[in-house]
Amino acid sequence: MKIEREGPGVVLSLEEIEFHLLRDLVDQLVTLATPDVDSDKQEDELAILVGIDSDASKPSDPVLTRLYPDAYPEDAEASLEFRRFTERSLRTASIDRAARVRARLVPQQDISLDQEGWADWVGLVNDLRLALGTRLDISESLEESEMAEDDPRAPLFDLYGWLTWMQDTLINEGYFHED
Amino acid sequence: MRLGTTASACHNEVVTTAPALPDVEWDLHTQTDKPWATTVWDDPINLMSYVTYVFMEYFKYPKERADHLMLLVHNEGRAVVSTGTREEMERDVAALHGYGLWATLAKD
Repeated sequence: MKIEREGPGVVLSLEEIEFHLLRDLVDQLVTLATPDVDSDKQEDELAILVGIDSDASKPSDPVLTRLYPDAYPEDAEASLEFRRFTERSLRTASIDRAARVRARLVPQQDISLDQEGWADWVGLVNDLRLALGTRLDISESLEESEMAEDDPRAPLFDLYGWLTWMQDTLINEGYFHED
Repeated sequence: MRLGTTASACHNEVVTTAPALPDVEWDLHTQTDKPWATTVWDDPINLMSYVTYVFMEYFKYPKERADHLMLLVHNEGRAVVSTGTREEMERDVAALHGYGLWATLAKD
């Protein structure tokens, strides 16, 4: 993969295998972020439209509690109330962003990103790193130490490192570059 | 103190003395101006460059201030990144969650 600055944006060149990998990760993220739908439940369509979920509860999956953390560290009730008004919107924003990135993913073609497209990629890659990093139980010490080759997490750890490189390069080339 | 009660009690008489003040210490700035704070917590996943970018992009902080806050988060484990009303802080926390930062709010 190559990421190069071009004008006010960046251009991404992906290998075939990277294209498939990224598309697969995007699809997994969308599945993860999509709220569980209870078909028996009558939901207020207006409430859904404005992003309110009257039945919101704290997710049990650690990846989801990392993506949508409690807002009040010492007040579970206020956190739940906050969740009712924010979590669905956050999930929708994440899913919409992933869809926009996926629409730009075309095999064997360079991807030119303007500033909006760039922000979508940075946000998406961050979601992916948070999800993967939480699954891997990444800690400061793990990040700095080499993982044994026969560790079953090694392939995912390589993937995480690839996303980290992508994120850091996107930010440095697309945001902090000297004009 | 309820203003309505005082007003009706005073309606038919000439007021010569001020009502008694409550016996509390007043600090207008911290107690009424900025009673709530948004805190960002350190986590091992978000990149330092990304956190600085978010502080610049969302709060419109200059690079130096954004870097300073990012380093506080990294080194001290957390940093207060904004203060204001509860509603304002809920808006900041929701936006920061949208960026994937671990943010919370509390009374300052």
